[in-house]
Amino acid sequence: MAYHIAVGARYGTALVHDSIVTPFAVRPAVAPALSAAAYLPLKPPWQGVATLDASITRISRHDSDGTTTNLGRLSTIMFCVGLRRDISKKLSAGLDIGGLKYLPADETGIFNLGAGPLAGVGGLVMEWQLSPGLAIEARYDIHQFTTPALDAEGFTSATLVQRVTLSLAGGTSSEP
Amino acid sequence: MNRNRVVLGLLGLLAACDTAQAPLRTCARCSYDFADTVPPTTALVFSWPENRLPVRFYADPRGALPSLVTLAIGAWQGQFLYGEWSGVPVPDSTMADVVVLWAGGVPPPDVPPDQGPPVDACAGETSDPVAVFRDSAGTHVHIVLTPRGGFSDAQVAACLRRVVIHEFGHALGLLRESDSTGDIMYEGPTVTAPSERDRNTAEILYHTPATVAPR
Repeated sequence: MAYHIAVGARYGTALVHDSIVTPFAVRPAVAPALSAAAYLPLKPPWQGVATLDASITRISRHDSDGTTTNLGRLSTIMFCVGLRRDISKKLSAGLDIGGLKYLPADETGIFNLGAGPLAGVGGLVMEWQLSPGLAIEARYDIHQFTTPALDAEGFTSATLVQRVTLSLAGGTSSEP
Repeated sequence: MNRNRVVLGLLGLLAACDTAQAPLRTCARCSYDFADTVPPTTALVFSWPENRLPVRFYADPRGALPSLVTLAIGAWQGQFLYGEWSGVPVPDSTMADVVVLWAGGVPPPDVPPDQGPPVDACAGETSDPVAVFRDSAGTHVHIVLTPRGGFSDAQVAACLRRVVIHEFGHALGLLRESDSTGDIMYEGPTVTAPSERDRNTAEILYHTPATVAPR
């Protein structure tokens, strides 16, 4: 069993697209992301992995005239399980599935009726080994975003949110 | 070749799913007029700009007025999804943007509102923000609530809860009355909270460029 802690930066696409007189979007800022992962050796070249991930960001309304309005702080917490496969000596790649929960700092605006249920999330991960126990990790994941307040407003479907995270990961190595 | 097609297809699917369908707010009966006009064509649109939020409300501390102000702030703030408007009570009238006062006596506090049919047991009046900020040197909007005699305390309490939300609607820029009894902005409101039409109208107002700004 090996463990990794990763610290990085995360970009996410818009949570909401709406139009009231003019179009606008609600977007998260680039955010710090922290994750911890446990790797379980399987039949080589495969490994199982369980990941707990958290990030804190600010969300803003971006109007079509270029103005932005701060809408407060928003945290996410995600738990995933997946598989990793060594592609070369230094490169590995894998798939994750799991659940993601939004945790708004204030129950206002799009969160004024709560944050809604756990969202299913799927991800792709690539890891480049810099040295034993140190790696660069690139992660892409997708999930659907909606809230009870957006449902009440008349949104009939959720927004597909895509996130990209670039992290530096360090920890114990699974190699003997 | 087939693998490329699959990848392109998946990317196309992601792009197609990216945007949820936003609700329609501008159909004929989805909202009502909020702007005043100066004939023939000058529209007077008032809203509180982002740099004046949260709007500061001072309430006469007597009776139930502080709790009525808190009720009305919450009722309107909850209508906005995207940070367009917010309000906060303040303890000092010199710090306030909007001053809320009693006229004609103070009804007893802590009276549960009557659950019967709405009756006209109170009145409310709001100074026109356009008149305050465009046509005079005023710096505050005033809201005055008046309990009427001949009704029970519970009927007055119920009326005040409706009317304070109605008057706050005027103070945040809904300058006109609604033509529908289902809306809190109907003259002599009979409902207890902003309707979907009230919400649509307030949202449209706060995404429309204002022609009158607070001082």
